[in-house]
Amino acid sequence: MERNLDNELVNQFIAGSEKAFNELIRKYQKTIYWHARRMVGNHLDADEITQQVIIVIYNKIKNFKFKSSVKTWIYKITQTRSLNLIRKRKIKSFLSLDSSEKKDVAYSEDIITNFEDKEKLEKVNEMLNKLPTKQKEVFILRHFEELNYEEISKITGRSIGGLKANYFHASKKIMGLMNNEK
Amino acid sequence: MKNKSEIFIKYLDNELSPEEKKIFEKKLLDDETFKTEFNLFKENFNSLKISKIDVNENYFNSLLPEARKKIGQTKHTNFIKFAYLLPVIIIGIILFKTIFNNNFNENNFEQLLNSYSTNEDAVVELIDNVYSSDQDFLIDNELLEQLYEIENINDESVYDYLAETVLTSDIEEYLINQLSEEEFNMVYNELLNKNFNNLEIK
Repeated sequence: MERNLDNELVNQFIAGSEKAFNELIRKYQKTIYWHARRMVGNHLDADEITQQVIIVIYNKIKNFKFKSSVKTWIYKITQTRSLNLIRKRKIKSFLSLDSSEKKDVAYSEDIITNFEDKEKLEKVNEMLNKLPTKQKEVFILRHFEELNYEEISKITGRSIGGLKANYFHASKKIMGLMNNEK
Repeated sequence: MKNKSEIFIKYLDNELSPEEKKIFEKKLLDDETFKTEFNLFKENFNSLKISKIDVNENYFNSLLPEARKKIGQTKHTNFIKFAYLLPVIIIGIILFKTIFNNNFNENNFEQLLNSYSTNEDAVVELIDNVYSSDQDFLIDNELLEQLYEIENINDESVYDYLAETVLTSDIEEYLINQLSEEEFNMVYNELLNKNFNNLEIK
């Protein structure tokens, strides 16, 4: 049902309805933002990725082939953008180009109004950042986004068996980290 | 018997076999301590999901208009970009031909890299482009699955090592290429010793 509605919106947009595009984005903007936020760990980068994803959707949706669901396709774009940013960040830190000032600014700006929520989210991010990136992405998609392995496989292009292994090890490690904190 | 938390994770992920699931659920019914332990685990595990986060909704209200502004700007600047792009493409072709005529090697790359070193983003972009690929995973998933299947090698440190190696492979490959044969052998032996130390047979 949801899939049909999404496809309908895509078709309407291809036929020229900008309103359909707006509706599609309003439906998925929080999903995009929170997925990016969990992947990259701060508001500024998540905001940048969200804007990029919306622009990519606008430019590429006309070529959408309906082979996967719109939701999976949007996740895939968000995932790729987030991983690109993480990779660039790794290279920057490898070349020592990322200043600590820049990092401080990135972590000070936020849309979360409740201090406790922010603190809790930061703790979760700290734990997620201790996972290897492959485990982290599967854990986020499975545990937080509650996607099934088939969907995750379509997003990541990895086998279901490998994903299950990644999720299992990520969960074990996260629980270990939580227990250590107590 | 497997570690309890491992079984809890698999049960919550619906990954126990029907038989295992039956045994697990019977244990939940019969053993009060086990049930309490499981409920505590489940509660902790799910506490990672913050059910409702208070956010400034203005941000989400302004997201679409902001993106639309950028989309408009992109459309407007596309023609201008193309006008700039044309000479860049021509220069690019000339450079490409020149580099390959001079037998492109790592030294050329170093020179090219140095010439970019005044611009941080350009350096990052360059390395990212040269060493990134959609298929940058040296160890494929089949191997990971096989490792996962073999219970005795189901060791977290091995798994993490593989996962990390897979991810950073492109950077490591670049570094490895910079090493002399002697240095490479030294690092290789060091790694070999490390693996033996970490992989204690339990």
